[in-house]
This record gives sequence, structure tokens and C-alpha cells, in this order.
Amino acid sequence: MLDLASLAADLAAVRQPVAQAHGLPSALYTSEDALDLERRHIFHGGWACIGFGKDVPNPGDAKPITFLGAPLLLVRDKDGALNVFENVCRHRGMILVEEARNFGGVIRCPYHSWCYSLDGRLRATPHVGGPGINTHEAVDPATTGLTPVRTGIWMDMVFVNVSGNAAAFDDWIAPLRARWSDFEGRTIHHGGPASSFTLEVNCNWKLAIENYCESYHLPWVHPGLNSYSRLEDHYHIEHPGEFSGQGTLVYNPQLSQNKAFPDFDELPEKWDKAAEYVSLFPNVMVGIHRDHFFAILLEPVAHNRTIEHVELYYTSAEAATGEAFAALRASNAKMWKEVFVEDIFVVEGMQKGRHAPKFDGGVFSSVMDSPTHLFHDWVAARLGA
Amino acid sequence: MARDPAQIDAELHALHGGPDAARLSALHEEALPHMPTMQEQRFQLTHAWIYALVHGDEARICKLEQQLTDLGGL
Repeated sequence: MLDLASLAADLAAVRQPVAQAHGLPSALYTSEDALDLERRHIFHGGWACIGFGKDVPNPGDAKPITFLGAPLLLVRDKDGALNVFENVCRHRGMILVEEARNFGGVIRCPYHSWCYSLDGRLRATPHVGGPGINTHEAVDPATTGLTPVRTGIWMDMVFVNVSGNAAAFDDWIAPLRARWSDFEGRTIHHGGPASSFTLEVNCNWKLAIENYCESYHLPWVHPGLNSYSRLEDHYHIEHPGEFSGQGTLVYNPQLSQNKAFPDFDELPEKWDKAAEYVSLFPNVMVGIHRDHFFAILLEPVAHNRTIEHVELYYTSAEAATGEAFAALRASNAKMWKEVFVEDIFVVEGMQKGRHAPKFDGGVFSSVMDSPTHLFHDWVAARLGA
Repeated sequence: MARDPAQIDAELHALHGGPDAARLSALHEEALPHMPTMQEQRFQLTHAWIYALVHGDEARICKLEQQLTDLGGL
């Protein structure tokens, strides 16, 4: 059981300047109640990523997603627009869609066959006025469509605000969009099934974010990366209230002796060697390079278990799906998977460590850990500290 | 040649819960002439209409909606 009185004091300690602050209290990593608190204040109360546009590529495609208990439905309508609705019939609250599929026509509730267009409109209410009478004055189709969930899409990532109370999506995403304005408006192409993988990790979702934020661990945990990308080649990325992460000044992919992915056209020179890795709070970790992009969606399935959904994108359809790049795509996916797998023992080790009775959240290096503290500070603020 | 209602009913039962909405719609429409009352016809038409909506056959949907409207079902 979460002790809210001691939690308030612990969160106040988190919000101190980095040199004096403690990390988030262990209870936020080891308690089911904490995830419930975070569900309300963080995941459903703000913007969070639930999936990708590539999951529903064709008109009529629909994918049900249970997002921390909330049944949602990702749907691409006949005009190609992507919407998210609550995955329940407005009649008796029956779940509408149980598994991903394509709808040639309407979405029919399996209970009483109320039907909804792909854009959410209530299309039919059979027998609602008695046998064979399919309208009734008490059921107004104009006000009884599928319940829309606020949705925003950026870099193929689908974000939702379940509560409906968060700031406008465009305002929320604006800082990262501005930071990566060199990539704005560019089409990215998903690399297909071989560029998509998941990792199941026995840790709280926050530990994955924290680990991704900082470069401090690179020489110890990722010796392969350190061979060409040393600690001193990295810099912090910090935008309070939104995201934090790290950048490198020596991006130099060596997947093949004689072949490389095409770069985005006409990027500024700085991206010849730069790459950036950002945790966009709360649950997506992204990496941008001149020749590819990746996103890792964190799905918290329990307070101590997280699924990482990794998706890799390229700069052209040819690079993403062409046979000529198949081997290179496979090498790139393998390389990133190895890096992400290298992180598992540390996040799982920290999860175990959170059960130490006297661990107080830990202290930060004000030089090396400020992106991590920035995330802790954001969590504390969202939980009301 | 018109099929026996029992045959239609048997096929409807066999397809129940399956994905072939177009066939289900057609079967309910095929059953229509066997319905002696307007109320029963309206009932069959409703099911033909719903499965046409599921299939997404716009021309068929328009036709069935007109029939339902004429019978007071819409």
C-alpha cells in the first residue's frame, strides 16, 4: 500500500536542485498502487504513446489496444485518416473489436449489432424501436457515435490523451518538434517486419526511461558503442517538463564496408556526425540520425514489468523495403537489438535494488545525471509534488 | 428456383458468427418472400441490411434502406 504522506515528502526531496535531490522513492517502483497513481496522473492524464500509424496501414484497418486498462481502438478510415476511439459500444459497453483486422464496411457490435462507421458515426441500431423498427427518438445517432479519444500523430507515433484534459497536442509536442525541425515534414518509411521487435523486461517503466536519458553508463554497459562513440563525445539534452536525453557528435554507422542507407535530403551539416536520443515523457524513447529513425514505445504491463516495442524507420521506400537494403536493415536491427538487450541487466538490477529497505532513491551526479533528474522531477511534478 | 425456407435457415445457422457478411445478407433477403407478415419481412430486411453494412456494399445498402423505409423500419 502506498503511503501518501511519506510519498509527498519523498517527492519534495526529488524536486530539489540536482546536487541536493534524491531520486524517486522505491515505492514508486515496487507497488501496484503506484502504477495506478501514475495511470491517472501521468498516462491517462497527459499525452502518451499507444502505437504507430504503420500498425493500421490500410483504410478499414483497426487495432484494439488496452492502454493501462483503457480499451482503445486505433482505426484508419476510408479517407486514410487515423482515429482513436474507446473500443466499446455506446449501447451496453460491449467491447467492439477483440483483435486486429480490416473492416470492409461498418464495425458491428457483436452483442445487439449496433453499427459504427469507421469515422465513429453511429450508423445502425437494429430493432432499437422494437422488432424491425430500427430507429428510436431516444437514441440520436448524432450524439451516440463512438467516443473519440484525443489523438495526435508525430513521426508515425500515435499519442492519446485519455482524460481529455491535457494541453493541445501541437503545443505539447512543439519543443521536440522544434529541436528536430531539420527533420520536420519528412516522410519516414517503416522497415517492415524485420525492423520491428519487442523486448519484455522485468522492471518498472521508469527505469527504462531513466537509463535511456543518460550517456553516463555507455562505457560500462555498451563497450561496443564506446569503441567509436566515447563518453566525452556525448552531450545532454534537457527540456524541463517534456523530454531529456543525450546526443553524440560522432555518429558513424559501420554496418557494411560498401553500402549505406540514404540520408534525408539536404540536412544541415551538423547531422553528418550528430545523432540524438531522447526520452519523450512518459513512455517513448526515440533516436534520430541522418539515415534512420527509431522509436521505442514502453508498455507498462505491471509495476515491475514493461514491454518495449521497437520500430525502425528509414528515409525512403527503397531503403525501408527494397531488397537491395534488406541485409543492411537486418544488420541495423540486429545492432540496435544488441544495444537494447545490453541495457536489460541494469534496469532489471535496479528494479531488484528498489527492494532494499534503506535505499532512499539515490543521489545524482550534477554533472552526469541531470537528464535523469529532470525526468524524476517531471514525474514528481505530475504526481502533485 | 426458390429454396425451401428450412434450407435457407440451415445455411444461416451454418454461417452464423462467420465472416461472410455478403452471403448472410443475401440469405436474409432470400428468406423475405417466405415471410407472411410485414413485421416479419421488416425483421428479415433489417438483418439483410445490417450484414450489407458490414460487407460495405453501398448499392445494396441503399436498396435495402429504401425497402426498410417503405415498410416503416427506418
